[in-house]
Amino acid sequence: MSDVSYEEGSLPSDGIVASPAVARWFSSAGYDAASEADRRALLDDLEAFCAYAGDREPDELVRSCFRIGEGGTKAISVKGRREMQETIEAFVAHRGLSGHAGTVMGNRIRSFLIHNGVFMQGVPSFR
Amino acid sequence: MEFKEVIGLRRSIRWFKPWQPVEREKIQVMLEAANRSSRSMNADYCKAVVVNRDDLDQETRDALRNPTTTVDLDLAPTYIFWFTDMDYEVGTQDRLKELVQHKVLPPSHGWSEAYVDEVVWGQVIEPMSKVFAIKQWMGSIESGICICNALNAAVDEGLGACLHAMGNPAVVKEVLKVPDSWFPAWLMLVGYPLEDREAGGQRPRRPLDTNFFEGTCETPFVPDPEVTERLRREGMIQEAGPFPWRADEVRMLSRMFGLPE
Ligand SMILES: Cc1cc2nc3c(=O)[nH]c(=O)nc-3n(C[C@H](O)[C@H](O)[C@H](O)COP(=O)(O)O)c2cc1C
Repeated sequence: MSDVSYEEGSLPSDGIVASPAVARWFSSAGYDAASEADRRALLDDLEAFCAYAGDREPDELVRSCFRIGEGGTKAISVKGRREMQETIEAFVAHRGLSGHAGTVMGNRIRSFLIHNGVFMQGVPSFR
Repeated sequence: MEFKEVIGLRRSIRWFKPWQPVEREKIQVMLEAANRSSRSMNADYCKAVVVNRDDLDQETRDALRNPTTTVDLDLAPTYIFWFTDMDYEVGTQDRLKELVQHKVLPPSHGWSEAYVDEVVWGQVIEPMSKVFAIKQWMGSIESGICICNALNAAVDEGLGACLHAMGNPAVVKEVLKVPDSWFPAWLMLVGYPLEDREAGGQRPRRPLDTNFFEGTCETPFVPDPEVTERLRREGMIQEAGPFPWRADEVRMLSRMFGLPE
């Protein structure tokens, strides 16, 4: 479980919609074609996660999984990615979710990160 | 299944039916295919340990995960850990002499037991076995040939398989009691494909004349269209991916397991 604890805060929905990382997620995952209700649900979950993760902007979450080296080279941050996985797990538990619903919620956040170039895998629910 | 169709239908399968175990009999077929593979010096380069996913404790399974191999470990019911035995030269002198006795290596081609003892062993194999880079290069190729046979045998048996980097070799060594001389090759995940066995179509490959040449490296091997057509009919060349419904297939499978879309 995460050793990083965050208080729930607030983040304006407008901000999340305007985020380039969110636009990239929707476009890459094909959610641009999803129903309004489905898109709203995805944004609500991501927004709640951003708040839980210390009121961070979506783009900031993505950045925290990378190390930017000299000359702007981008490499995956092992520590950043591990902390992100832990925060996702903590968020799922914080929302009182477990089993399939918990897996879906955690992997929904992972989907946002994956489509922004953060390589990570979740655990499938089938047991 | 016909040979050409096996080659044509093989895909790296990443979606398995996690609930359907693989019959031991089919694994034996895969191992026998590996054992029948061609090899230099008739040596035993390749080693494998077959493990049922559900026989591994959770801690071990978690230790095997790496960023690119996580979901697959949960879905595949059977794991085959492949190794190269870096002591493969041990016994090759006798094995070569056996081939001489069997007239596989005949005097017509210059072979004799004396030649094996005095030249092949003494001047080639033994000195070569002391150069790690050469040894590793040879061993890796030899294991690859075995593994490839096993992959194709899996297809022939109606199974799916995919090779993966072997995460956490130290844990693998301890849990499987791997001898010191065995060098990790690949982890093969095996099971019944949950995705269509065509897995969205044949993978994009560069044309034959990009990689293969005739006479010199300056003359590409230009394929004969009639042969290409025959290979299509016989199943070695299949419909190229992605099939129009591939994205939906992957989305539906993801939803089944709650995986990221
Ligand atoms: C030696 C070898 C190692 C591989 N390692 C991985 C791996 O670690 N993770 C993975 O997802 N796929 C791995 N693959 C599968 C390749 O990515 C796969 O070959 C690619 O998707 C091309 O498709 P095909 O095998 O279906 O023709 C490996 C394949 C081979 C032959």
